[in-house]
Formats: sequence, C-alpha cells, structure tokens
Amino acid sequence: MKRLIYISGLISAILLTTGTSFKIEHWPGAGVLLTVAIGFFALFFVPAALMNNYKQENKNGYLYICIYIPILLSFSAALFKIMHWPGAGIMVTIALITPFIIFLPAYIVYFNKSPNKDITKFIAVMFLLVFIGVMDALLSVAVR
Amino acid sequence: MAELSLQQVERIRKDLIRQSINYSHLLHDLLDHICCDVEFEMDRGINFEEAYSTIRNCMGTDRCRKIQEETLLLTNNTYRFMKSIMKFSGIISSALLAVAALFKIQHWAGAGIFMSLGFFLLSIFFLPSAIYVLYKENRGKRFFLYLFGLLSFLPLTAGVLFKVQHWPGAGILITVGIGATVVLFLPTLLYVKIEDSQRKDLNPVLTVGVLSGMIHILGLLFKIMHWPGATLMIFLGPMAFVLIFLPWYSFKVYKEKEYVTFEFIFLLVGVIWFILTSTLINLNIS
Amino acid sequence: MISRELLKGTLKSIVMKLLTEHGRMYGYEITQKVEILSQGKIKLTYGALYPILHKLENDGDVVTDSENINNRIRIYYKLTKKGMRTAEEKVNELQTFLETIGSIIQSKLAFRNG
Repeated sequence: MKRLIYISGLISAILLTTGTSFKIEHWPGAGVLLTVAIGFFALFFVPAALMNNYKQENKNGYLYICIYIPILLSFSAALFKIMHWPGAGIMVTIALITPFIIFLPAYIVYFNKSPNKDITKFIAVMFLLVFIGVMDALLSVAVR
Repeated sequence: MAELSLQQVERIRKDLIRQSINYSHLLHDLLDHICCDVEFEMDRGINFEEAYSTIRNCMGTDRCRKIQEETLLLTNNTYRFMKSIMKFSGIISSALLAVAALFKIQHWAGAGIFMSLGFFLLSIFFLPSAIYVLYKENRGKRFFLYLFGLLSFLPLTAGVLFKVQHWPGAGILITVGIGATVVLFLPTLLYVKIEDSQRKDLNPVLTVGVLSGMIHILGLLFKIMHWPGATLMIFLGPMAFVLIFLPWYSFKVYKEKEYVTFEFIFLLVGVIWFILTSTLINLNIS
Repeated sequence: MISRELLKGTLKSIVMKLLTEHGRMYGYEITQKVEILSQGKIKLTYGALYPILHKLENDGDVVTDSENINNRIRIYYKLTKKGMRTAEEKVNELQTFLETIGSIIQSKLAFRNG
C-alpha cells in the first residue's frame, strides 16, 4: 500500500508537470492531462497518504481533516481557474480563505496540546501561511 | 528501568512552565533531568507521586526561575515578549495578506489597504521578532538558513505589494527577492540538508533537486520581468524536478519508514502547489 | 558533602573534562558521572550545571543535538574542536591550581607539626 501511494504521488506529479507545460505551450491534450493529474492527486494520493500516516503516527484525526480540506479546495480551484470552467471565481474565493479559517485554528489547538511544542516548527508553519498569503496576492495581480 | 507515562511527563512539564521557564532549550534540559531523577526514585520502588514530591522538595520553589534568569541573564523578558509578538504578527499578517488577495481577485475596494497593512506588520514586527527567537533557539547553520529565508522573503513581499499598488520599483524588489532566494537561501538549504542527512548517497539527489528548483524560480523571475529565456527555464525546472529528483529521492527514501512520511506528503503537496501557482502566473502574464 | 563555595570555580573544568572523555553526554548523565567519580561527595544540581552548559554553548565550546526519548526531548552536549582546546587549558589550569594549593596546605601543616 505504501509503495502504491508513493508511486501514485510521483505519477500525478509527472502528469501534472506535463499538463502544465502543454498548457503553457498551447498544445492539445493539456486539459485532459491536468484534470486527470489533479483529480488523481487530490482525490487519491493526498487522502490515501494522509490516512496511511495517520494510522501510524496516531495524532489527532481532526488535524488531518483540516489539512486535507484546504488542500482539496485549493487544488480544485486552481484546476477550475486554469481550465476556465464556470464557478472558478467562487472556488478561488473559498480556497483562499480555508487555510486560515480551517487549518490555522486546528493547528493552533494541536500545537497547544502537543507535548514537545517545537517552536521552530510552529514558526515554519506560520511562515508557510504567510508565504501562501503573499503568493495569493501575487496571483491576484497576475490573474484577471 | 522505570519509564514515565506521557501524562506524568506532561504534568512535570506544566509545572515547569508555570514557573515561567519559557526558554525552550532550558525547558527540555530541566524536564529531562527531573524525569530522570523521578524515574530513578521510582526504580527504588517509590510511586510517582511520592518520587516527584521528593524531587520537588530538593528543588525548592523559586529555583527554576532563578536558573532561567542565570542562564538567560537579561534576555528572559525580551525573549518571551519577542515570542508573543512573532506568533501574533505572523498570524495576523498572513491573514491580512490573504484577505487582500481575496479582495483583489473579486475586484472589491480596499485590497491595497489590507495588503499594505499586512506587509507593514510583516516587516516591522514578524521579521525582526522571528529572527530574534530563531537566533536564541538555534545555533550555527540553521540560523543562517532561517535568516536568509526571511531576508529573501522581505524584498519579494515588498515587490508584490508595490506591483499590486502600481508603485514604481516593483521590478527591482522582486528581482532582489528572487535573486536572494536563489543565491542565498537555496544553497544554504542544500548545505543544511546535506549536513543533517545521515546518508551520504543522498547528496547528489538533493543537489539536483535544489538546482532544478533554482532554475524554475529563476524562470519565473524572467517571465515576470519579460526577459528572454523564461519559457525554457520554466519548462526545464519543473520537468527536471519531477522527472529526475522526485523519483530518485523517493526511491532512496521510501524504505526508511513502514508508512508514508509526512515529509513526503509535504514535499509532493508543496511541489504541486508551487507548479500550479506558477502556471497560473505564467498563463496570465504573457 | 563538599561545600558549594569550594566547588564554584572548578565546576566548569570538571564538566569539560568529563565531556572530553565521554564524547556526547546529556545533563543527567553528567551529574551522575560526577556523583560516581566523587564517591557521592559532589552532587551537581541543575542550578549549577545548566548555566555552565549553556554558557559553553554560547561561547562555541559545545554543540547540542536532541533526540526524542520517553515522551520528552533529550539534549546531548558535545565538545567542538575549539571546546577540546579550551578543555585542555582549563584542566591544566585546574591541575596547576590544585598542586599549588596542595603545596601551601602541606607546608602549613608541616610548620604546625614541626
């Protein structure tokens, strides 16, 4: 199972990169590649990998869910936007907010409860969120 | 050999924290030491409660705070203060930036204010306090990693702000930011990873990974600045990363644990997210 | 039990000497070794040990690394190359000091008895 998950992750990454390159060059087939890649990644790899990790590490389940939901939403929103499908605007709006409304509170609770309270990791996660915020801002300029 | 349960360790930890030990290095030292003492007593047949209170009596009540003061000298209060500032400003500024992005995409008014505010908080409060806290917590190469990361991030964020507000100078800032990332941050990251890694055979793999990342990021820069050669780099970077680095790295690493590590998940999600984001930027700039 | 007063100046040298002999150690291990080697006469408390260890780290004489043990983080201390040199100096210094004091005490006693 572990091997399957690793391989599926790698395959979706390869499909995705190919798809995005095709899209940039306006070659045909980009859409299919991208949809399959993102779908496979967000609907199979991420949940399977998270479940596998959860079973072993046995931390709090709700943290994993709060990680998955923003990921699922953000990636779907990105797909919709790239493919110019209807509803992209709403999806992007929701996707931008979820890391902060869903993931952040869950992570704060988890951090306060956790035994080792590694402040460096907390800073890293904070920084990640800031980075996402900045990239979102950059996107907002670039994307009409 | 007696072993304390998680609850018991937690209880001791909470007591230490209640005595205002916030310097985590010292907290770890003291916690481990007290736990060892208690375990030693328990080995002689005494139960946890009695063992712990014996040890505590030997300690005296104010001792821990005095130890911390002696250890940190004057920096104790500064440290605690900086830590809180860093936590709050980090959370608030990232939220503000996301709200700003939201407003901008929806073409609502006021995006600029949120963004300026977010950036202001970031550079005046989060950055210095984060550097201070990280410096106190880490020594040596890790510190430089974080320092360079933060230093490349600042001009980049400023550049994005300027671009959104249509202020002049955006290009220079973004160039400096991305340049710093590629020249300062990424090599340090590689260096730290190589030093930390137990396995020497990972070194070439990691180098390839960082190199392809560099190419990709430079490609983005070139695209934003409308310099030639961008397309090739943007094509090459992710391809090399996903076709060479990822499989090679995963193959070497996946045997280490029985289950899927969080590191791998994080790596993949991060890569995909970055590629998607850069694609979006790409598609809309040309 | 040897008094705190007598110990104060020498603790750093004692800790450094132990670190030269044992590679990497954690705090509790150091206090144990000291207790064993001194046959129970010297009990190193955390109040004495950790400021010394942290000062050594600040000065670049030791580096730390941590491991997860038994539900908590354990920090190991290890001498750097600079630390090795400092340790040698300090131990030699202590040695000389002890010999000097030793000869003073001996001579006084001899005077008393003779």
